[in-house]
Amino acid sequence: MTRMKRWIAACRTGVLLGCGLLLTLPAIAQDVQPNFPVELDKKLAARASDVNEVTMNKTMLKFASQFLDSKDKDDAQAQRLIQNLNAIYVRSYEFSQPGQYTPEDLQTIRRQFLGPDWNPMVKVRSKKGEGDTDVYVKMVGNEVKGMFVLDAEPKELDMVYISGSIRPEDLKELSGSFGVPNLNLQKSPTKESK
Amino acid sequence: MVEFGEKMQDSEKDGFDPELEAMFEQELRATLQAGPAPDGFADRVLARVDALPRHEPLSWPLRAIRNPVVRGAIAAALLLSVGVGGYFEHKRERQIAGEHARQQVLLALRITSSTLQDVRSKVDGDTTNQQDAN
Repeated sequence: MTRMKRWIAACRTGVLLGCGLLLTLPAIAQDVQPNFPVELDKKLAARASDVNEVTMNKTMLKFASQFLDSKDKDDAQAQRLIQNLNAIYVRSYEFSQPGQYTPEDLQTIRRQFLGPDWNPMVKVRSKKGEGDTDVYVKMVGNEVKGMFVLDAEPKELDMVYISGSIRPEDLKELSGSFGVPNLNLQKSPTKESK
Repeated sequence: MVEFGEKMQDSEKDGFDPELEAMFEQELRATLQAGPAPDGFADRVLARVDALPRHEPLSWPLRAIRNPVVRGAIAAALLLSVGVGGYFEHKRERQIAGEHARQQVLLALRITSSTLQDVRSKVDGDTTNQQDAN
């Protein structure tokens, strides 16, 4: 009888632990899983003439940071930027001709960031839907915990998803770094937009 | 001896014979009794030994390998070299993977940087357009 009771108690504990784990996992995964719709990824990659895909989770970022040279300017900057990040997912597609993605494709991507934590920060829309830009920021409390950038050009589509703590100075540091010249924004070409 | 053989044949017919047993024992003693070696036996043996092909003395590596201490040392050295080789191979692979990861991070940040630049230019363009319209 005592044996039976022990067995029932063990089963109950197991079930409770299992339920707890099942409830916790999505919460953990939410921060780590990419918000890119994988199927669309493949579809776009198949149409693109040039694809750049980078997927780095926290473990990979930590590993990579060990090999960044703190004496090198770019490496040191990268080291500083990634230290508080959970993941970086980059998808950059270049197409040989326009019309390789549809406004519906962009809408599918945007739908991933309609959650309560995500706030649209920048929204630029072109007439043909081929020069759209979106920047979504994930705010938790007063802290930026994630950022998603969607930049659509007629022959290029870039998506960047950064998960983790991002400080405004990090963003400032990012633009105009890593070999990308800082644009003189006053002289930048104006684009037709709504 | 002939007599012993005859007696043996008889005993096979009649069964146990104490006389025969005594005779057998006597015969056995006489046969097993150590006698002097024939003349020149030792010389002949030595001559045959000399005639045998001589073995070459073992070379020092072979002699050394028979030593258990040397064998142990060789085994330890082999194990050590395998271990050290494995460690350096692992280190080399880790270095390659690390360099790849580093390149990936830099590529990701480069694309991010470039994308943010595009966004800035678009936002700026949008603002300029709006100002022009006003």
